[in-house]
Amino acid sequence: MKLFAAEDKLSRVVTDNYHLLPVINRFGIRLGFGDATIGEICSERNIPVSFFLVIINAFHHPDYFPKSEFLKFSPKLIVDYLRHTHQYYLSWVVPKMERQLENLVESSEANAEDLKLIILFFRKYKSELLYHIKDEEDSVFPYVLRVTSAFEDGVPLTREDYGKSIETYEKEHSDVDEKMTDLKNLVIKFLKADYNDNLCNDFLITLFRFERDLIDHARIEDKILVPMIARIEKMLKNGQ
Amino acid sequence: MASSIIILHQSEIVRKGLASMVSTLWKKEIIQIADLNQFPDRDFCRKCNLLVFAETSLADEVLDLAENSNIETVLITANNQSTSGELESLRCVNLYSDISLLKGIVDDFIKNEPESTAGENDLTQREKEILRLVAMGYSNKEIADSLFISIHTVITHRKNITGKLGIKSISGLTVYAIINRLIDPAQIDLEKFI
Ligand SMILES: [Fe+2]
Ligand SMILES: [Fe+2]
Repeated sequence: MKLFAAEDKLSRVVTDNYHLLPVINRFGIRLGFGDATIGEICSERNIPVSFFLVIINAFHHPDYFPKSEFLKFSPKLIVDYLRHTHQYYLSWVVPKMERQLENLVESSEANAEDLKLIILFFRKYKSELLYHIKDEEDSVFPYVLRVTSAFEDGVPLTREDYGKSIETYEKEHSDVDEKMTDLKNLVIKFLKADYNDNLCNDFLITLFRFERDLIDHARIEDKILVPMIARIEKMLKNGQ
Repeated sequence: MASSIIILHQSEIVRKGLASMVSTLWKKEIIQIADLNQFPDRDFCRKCNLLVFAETSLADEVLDLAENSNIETVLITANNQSTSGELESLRCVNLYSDISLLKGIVDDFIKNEPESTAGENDLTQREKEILRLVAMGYSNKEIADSLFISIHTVITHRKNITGKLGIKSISGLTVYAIINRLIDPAQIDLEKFI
């Protein structure tokens, strides 16, 4: 496994894996970076390079788990990144998938009933996903930021926060993941209605991309953010 | 029950040529063999639905194997070769046959396939029954009571259904059940279940 490093050119990262484009955008980096290296671009924009590398490497190598990078950067950065990711889903990917699905239904002259069921199922999936995201935005992330401030800036935790633990806070991702798999299988294995193949493929490609992106997103939450906060909680409770 | 087409002929040109034509009509397995030694064993034949295109000189042996199993035999004859005896009743293709003749044969074979292979991934009748109840929103307990089986059995069935279909959520199963006409959407409140 060859990880991206600070000396690598950012243009190479994009040509190696163009799926990293939206990931890079989440740091406020846009195209047109010429031959600049990752290190140069990060320092120009005040992005801790170790953080940037963890994020792109975790996305590029699904098995990569950055133990040694722990606590080299603030959890605030992770929250910021995750919020940008949520924004990308809410304002771009989910509406796009829904539009593609609607186009698919319109492409079917007869027998659109089955396709309409798929739309209903998609909307159910979407509402669960939005609920999950809203819960993170409204309660998980604010808690993470309070714990981080207590640790970094000595802002004391309220008694209520003191009794909480991140591990019970972050809800499981399994329900949302499960519906995503169901949706995929329903379309790939069982959809028999007459529809336009190209529109269906467009929809599925967006779905596959989104699935991959969500897996990465959930890993950052479950494998990086949650353990980091758990460690900080422990240190706070031990009075360090 | 699985279905396969077997092409049995000594000539590689005939085997490959016929296989490539058949493959435009048949998306499942096509087995090409040069002699009877490679023919699947009786056990396999009994479990499968087979359509065998056989070289005329080997047809007697194939008919032997076909006894007591679901094997339908079609002869591959040389041009103008006539058949006699038991073979007379069999359908034939020859080296000059065109695709429409093959299509007739393959279509008949597909039509006679047992219904369970028609894309439902072999759910048993019992599993379909349970899936129907799950999709209509009944709990495991209610299903167990109405079918006079234990909750444990219901759970096992549900695991198997999910394993076969790759669908886990109740709303996903409901969509599947409607698409496959196991339940009538008019029977349920769609907004509530999906
Ligand atoms: Fe999230
Ligand atoms: Fe999450």
